Amino acid sequence: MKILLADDHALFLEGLRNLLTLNGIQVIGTARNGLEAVERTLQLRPDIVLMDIRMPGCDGITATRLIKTEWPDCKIVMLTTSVEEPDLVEAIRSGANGYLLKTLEAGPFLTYLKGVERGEAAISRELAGTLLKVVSRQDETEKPGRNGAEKVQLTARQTEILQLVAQGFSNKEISRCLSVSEHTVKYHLGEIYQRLNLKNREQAVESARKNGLIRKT
Amino acid sequence: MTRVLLCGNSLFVACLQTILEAKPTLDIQLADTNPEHIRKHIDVWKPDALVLETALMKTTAVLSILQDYPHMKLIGLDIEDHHLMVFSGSAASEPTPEQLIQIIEG
Repeated sequence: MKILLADDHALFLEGLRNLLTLNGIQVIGTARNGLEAVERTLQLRPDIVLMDIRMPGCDGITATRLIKTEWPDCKIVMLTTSVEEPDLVEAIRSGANGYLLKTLEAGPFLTYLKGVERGEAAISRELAGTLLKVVSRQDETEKPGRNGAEKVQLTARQTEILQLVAQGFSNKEISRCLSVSEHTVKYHLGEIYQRLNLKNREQAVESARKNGLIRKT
Repeated sequence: MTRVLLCGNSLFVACLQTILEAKPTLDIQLADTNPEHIRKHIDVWKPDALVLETALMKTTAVLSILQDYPHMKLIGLDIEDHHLMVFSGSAASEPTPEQLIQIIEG
């Protein structure tokens, strides 16, 4: 099995390379950020890419999307400490073949890798429940109401973000304001668009106005 | 030989183990993150340094070990924000394997 590792954490990167090599897995390349990961993956054509999410410059989710555009059959497994739902969902939407946590023990981690090589998906057990909840929630929002009309509700966080969008804040400003990552804001916006059947920011502002979500100053 | 007690059973700790075991001047033993188990290891084996993943340990447990074994180096690694913290107060951002070994042996 030929693996490419993408992680900006020097200690973890070198340790993981040792661990895989000791277990008979060939590490054919490493990358310290998303762009390097894209370049080296397309150049070296590994069997599996182990991709961290938080990396400087281009993050692992963007890198996954770029790789999958060029090489859809490439197997990419996110290897991260993030248990945040937006990261998990965005990674899967980007085409990742797995999502594993660095807190996983080495034995199960190696078993998951062998499974991915055979074409199986790899999701850390503690995250499978999160994924089921997301799917179940999406099913609920797709069901029509009793009178045939769509009854869509936003979460408190989504309402908060929609209000800030309507007030003209950029994603970066919203992320600072709510002390979350810009990636999380984008994820929630995607959910808002999907739930309210919107296509863009302008429609979101209009929807907020109609629903009385814009606070009058 | 410098004795190092490495605590935890995560992939991150397993990765650290491979780095530290490659250094012939270091003698490595593993322990889980249960503070009582760690204390037993310390009392019996008397390590020179204890390396642990901070996310897996309660701060109070770490401080209590630091207080009870003041001559032992206590090194915490935070994989989320890539920090290495020596509980004497020194810290390094984005540590390299060489830095970690230097701190253990220094």
